[in-house]
Amino acid sequence: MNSALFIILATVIISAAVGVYAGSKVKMNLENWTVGGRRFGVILIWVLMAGEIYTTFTFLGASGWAYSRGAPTFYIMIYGTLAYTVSFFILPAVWKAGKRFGLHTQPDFFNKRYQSQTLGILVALVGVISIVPYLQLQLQGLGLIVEVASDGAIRSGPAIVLSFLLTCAFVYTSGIRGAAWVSIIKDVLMITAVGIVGLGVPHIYFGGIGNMFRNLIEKYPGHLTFPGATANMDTLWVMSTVLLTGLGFYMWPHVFASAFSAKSARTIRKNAIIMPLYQIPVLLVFLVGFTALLVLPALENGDMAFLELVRQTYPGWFLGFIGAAGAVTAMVPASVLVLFASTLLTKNIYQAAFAPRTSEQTVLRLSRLMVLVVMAAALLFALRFPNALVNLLLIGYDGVTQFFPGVVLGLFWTRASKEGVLAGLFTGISIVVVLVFGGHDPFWGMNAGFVALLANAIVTVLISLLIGPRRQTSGISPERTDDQTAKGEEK
Amino acid sequence: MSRIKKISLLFGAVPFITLVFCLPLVNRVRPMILGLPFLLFWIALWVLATPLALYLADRADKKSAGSGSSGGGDET
Repeated sequence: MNSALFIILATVIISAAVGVYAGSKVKMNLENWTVGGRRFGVILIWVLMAGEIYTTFTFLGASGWAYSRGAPTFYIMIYGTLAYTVSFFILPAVWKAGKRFGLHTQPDFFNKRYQSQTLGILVALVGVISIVPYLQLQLQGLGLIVEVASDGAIRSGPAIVLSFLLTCAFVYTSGIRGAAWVSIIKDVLMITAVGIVGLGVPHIYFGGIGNMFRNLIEKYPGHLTFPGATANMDTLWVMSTVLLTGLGFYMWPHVFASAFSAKSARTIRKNAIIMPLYQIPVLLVFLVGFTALLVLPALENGDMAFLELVRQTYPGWFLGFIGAAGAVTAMVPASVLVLFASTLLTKNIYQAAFAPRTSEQTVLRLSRLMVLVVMAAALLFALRFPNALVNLLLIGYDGVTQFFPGVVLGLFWTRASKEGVLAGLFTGISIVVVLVFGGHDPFWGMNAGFVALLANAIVTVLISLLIGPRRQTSGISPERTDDQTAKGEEK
Repeated sequence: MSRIKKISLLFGAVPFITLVFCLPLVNRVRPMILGLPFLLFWIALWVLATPLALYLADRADKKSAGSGSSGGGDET
C-alpha cells in the first residue's frame, strides 16, 4: 500500500467515524436530525456554513478558472463576501421564524409564510432538481481527486462508491450534527493544504508572489483583468454574476436551512461578521492556478491545474494528503445536500402532497431511507451517465436564486402575497430555461440568471400589489418575526 | 427585523459598492500593491474590510435598539 493511498483511506474513514459518533449520544428525532436541535454555537455554525461554500469546486474549479480563464475567477472571492453580507441582514429573521414555528426546511418557510402548500411543494421540487446534479458533481470531483492523488491506486469508481457508503453512514446516523463535526476535520485539512500550496508554489518557482505575477503579466497580458482569457466574461458579466450568486447562495435549500441549526439569532450575526475572512484561502487557490499556468502551460484540462502542480512539486505522500483533504471537502457538502434533498422529498413533497397525517417519527424514518435513494441516484449518474445532468447544473444557481424575492419580501414586506411569489417564480424560472437552453447566456453581457431575477422581483411586487394577501394569512410577517424574545411588546 | 436601521444598511452597502459597482473603475493590473495586481489587491482589500463594516453595522443596530436586542446580547 503506498503512503498516499494510506493517508486518503485513513482520513476518510476516521472522518466518517467522527461523523457517526457525533450523533450517537443524541436521541434522534426530526428536529435533531435536520437542524441539530437548534443548538449550534458560533464554531459549529461557522464550520457548517464554510463546509457548504467550500466544495470540490474550490479546489479544482477556482484554480482551474484562474488557470484557463484568468480574472473572471475573482468572482468566487466576491460572491462569498456578498453572500455573508446578505446573510447578516436576512438570516436572523429566518432563524426567528424557524424557532417560532418549528421550521426544518426552506419549503416549510414558504409554506408557513404564504399559507400555501402549492408554493411549498413547488419550492421543494425546484430545490431537489437543483441539488441532485450538484451532489453528483461532488461525487465526480471526489473520484477525480482521489484517483489522481493516489496515483491511480484507487480508481475513480471505487473511490466514489466508498465515499458514498461512508457519507450515507454518518448522514443516516447523525444528520446535520455529523456534517458539522466532519466539517471541523475538513476545515483544518483544507486550510492547511491550501495554505502550504498557495504560499509555497509561487515561492518555489518564482521566489515570491510579486515576481510570479510580474511574469504572468509579461507572458499573458490581459489575463489578470476582466474578461481575462474569455470572450464574454467582461466586467458587466462579473458584476451581474456576483450579484446573482451572492444573493442566491443562501437560497440553496441546504444552506438556508443550516441557519435553523444556530442556537440564537445572535450566533448567526456573529458568524456573518467573521465569515468573509474565510474568503482569503480562495485567494491562495488562485495563486496556485496562476503559478500552474506559468509552470505547466500545456494542460488539457485546467481543472487539473491544482493537482498536477502539486504532483510536480511535492512528494507523493503530500499529494495523498491533498487527496484526503479534497475527498473530505467533497463529502461534507455532499452530506448536507443529500440530507436536505431527502427531507424535502419526504416532508415537503410526500407528506405535504400525499400523506398529511404521517407522524414526525415516520417522516424521519423515511427521510433516512431517502438518503440512500438520493445518494444512489447521484451515484448512478456519476458512474454511468456523467453528462446527463450537466444542463441542470448550469441552471441550479439560477434556479434557486429565484427564491430570493419570496424570502426577502416575505420577511420584510407584509403585502407580499403567494400569488405574487408564485407568478414571480414562474417568470424567473421560465426566463432562465429559455435564455440558458436557448444559448443566450450571457444576455446583453449579463448573467441570464440575474436578468431572470430582476424580472421575477418586478413581477412578485406587481402581482402582490394587485392581489394582496388575505387578512388571516399572517403566518410569518415582518411584525411577527420581529423579535422572538419580545413577545410582550406585540399588541 | 424592523430593527435593521438605515445606518447599518449603509455599512452593509460597503461591499456591494466596492466589490460590485466599483469594478469598472479598478479593472487594471497597475499599480501592483503587496505583489498583487491592482484588481486583485482591490478585491482582497474590501473582502478583508467587510467584517469591519459588518461589525460596525452590528454595533449601530445594537445601539439604536437601545435597551437590548434580540437573542440576548451575549458575548461580543
